Amino acid sequence: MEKDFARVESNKIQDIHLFVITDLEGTSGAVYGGYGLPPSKEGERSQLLMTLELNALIKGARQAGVRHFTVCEAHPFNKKRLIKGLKIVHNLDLLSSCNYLAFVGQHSRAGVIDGVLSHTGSARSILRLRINNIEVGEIGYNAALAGYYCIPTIFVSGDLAATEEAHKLIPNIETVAVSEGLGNHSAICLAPQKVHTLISEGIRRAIERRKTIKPLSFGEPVTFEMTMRYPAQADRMCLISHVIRKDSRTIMFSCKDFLEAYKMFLVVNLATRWWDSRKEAK
Amino acid sequence: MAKLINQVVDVAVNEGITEVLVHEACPVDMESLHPEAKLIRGAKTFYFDESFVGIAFVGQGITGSVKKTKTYRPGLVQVRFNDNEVDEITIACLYAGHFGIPLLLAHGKPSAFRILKNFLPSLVIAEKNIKQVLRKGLKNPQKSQIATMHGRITVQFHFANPLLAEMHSIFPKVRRIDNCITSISSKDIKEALFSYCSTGLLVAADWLY
Repeated sequence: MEKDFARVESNKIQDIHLFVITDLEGTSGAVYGGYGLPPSKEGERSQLLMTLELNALIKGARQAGVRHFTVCEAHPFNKKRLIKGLKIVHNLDLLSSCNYLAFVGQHSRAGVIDGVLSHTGSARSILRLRINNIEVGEIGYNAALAGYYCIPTIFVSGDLAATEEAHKLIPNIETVAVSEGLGNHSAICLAPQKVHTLISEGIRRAIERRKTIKPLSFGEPVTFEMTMRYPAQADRMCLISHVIRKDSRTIMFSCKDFLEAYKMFLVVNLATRWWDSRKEAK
Repeated sequence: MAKLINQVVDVAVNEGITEVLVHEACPVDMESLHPEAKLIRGAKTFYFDESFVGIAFVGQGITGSVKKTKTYRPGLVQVRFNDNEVDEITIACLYAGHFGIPLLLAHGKPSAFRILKNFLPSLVIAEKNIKQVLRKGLKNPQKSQIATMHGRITVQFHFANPLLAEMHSIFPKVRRIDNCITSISSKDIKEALFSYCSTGLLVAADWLY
């Protein structure tokens, strides 16, 4: 993919294609569940709340004039309540064909105090992720992938810690905090009606101000440094070519650009997935 | 439950209250929640400070049997503050009282307030007249009742089995009184609350019993 920032700048609003990454743990009212845990009543309630927050974002963006959406479903939506006609995907392969990125229901990175259900990728395995010496979570690495394609991340809604994280990484970004963590599994949550209004207004503002927000870049070359929960996980990751051991729990790898590094991150995560899928890890 | 909560929020907002925090004990249907309410979900303690105008209990004991809702966990048979039996409602009220926060509304099954009544003998339990009682309380909060307990508080925990008492006696400052009973001396209600909450951690470890 050729870098083409001018493509984004010259877009008419009706031509804008918004890519939306949804997540569960930063939804107002979600303090349990998530983390890919088995289905539960609490999880289903959170999925409904997440779906309604996505609906509010789509409504707000449509009011601003956006017509094209691709939505990445990280946790199952409540299909009965989901706005019809959305293009739903389960990875970021189509991100490069969009113009702007928005997050809804986003949580903060692993290790943040008072971040509601905070984690980075695998909650069971990854203790810390640094990219070019900057501590990041899912907002950081997904926004940087968008940034590689010159796509600005214009909006994040989630818990307060997640929105603060977004502001630190992306100047001028529009954010809406829907809850404030009192701990990892407790929060002061805004009522959904209020949340929906705030998200709709927030995405409208983000779309209006889109040209003031720059794509996120950590510069090149790109070095990922991952600290794992168990040294045995790092042992496995070091079997992958170009992965270097920094200490018992930490591995690192460097790539010429972010796309290459992101792909490498996905490969390295296979070792994490193997670990997480073991019976005793559940 | 959301309907009951919304009545309270509605009155509070109309009376000029700027922030209404709803501390959830059982899952509330968030979708129906009043837009001006803020829901505290998953909390392990109470979040009061001097800025609160009052505390209101809504729907206490209406979703289940109140006979067994004295304390947080089944591993705990009884908790006493300075030899007075307490339950969650009473501890919340005493803690609010520490900050001078009055009780504006007590709504629910009368049996849910049995223990609190020992501290507030003239407590009137609202039945269907939630709005009137709360409105009256908000107009004259200084006339509402404050439950307090001054000075040092000896907190006594009566556990369901000796193993829990034994484990509890490992906690800092905790004394084993007898087979199933421990006690801890707290300098004030705030410290007593934390003793109570930390004991919740112990009884939550259900592999112990």
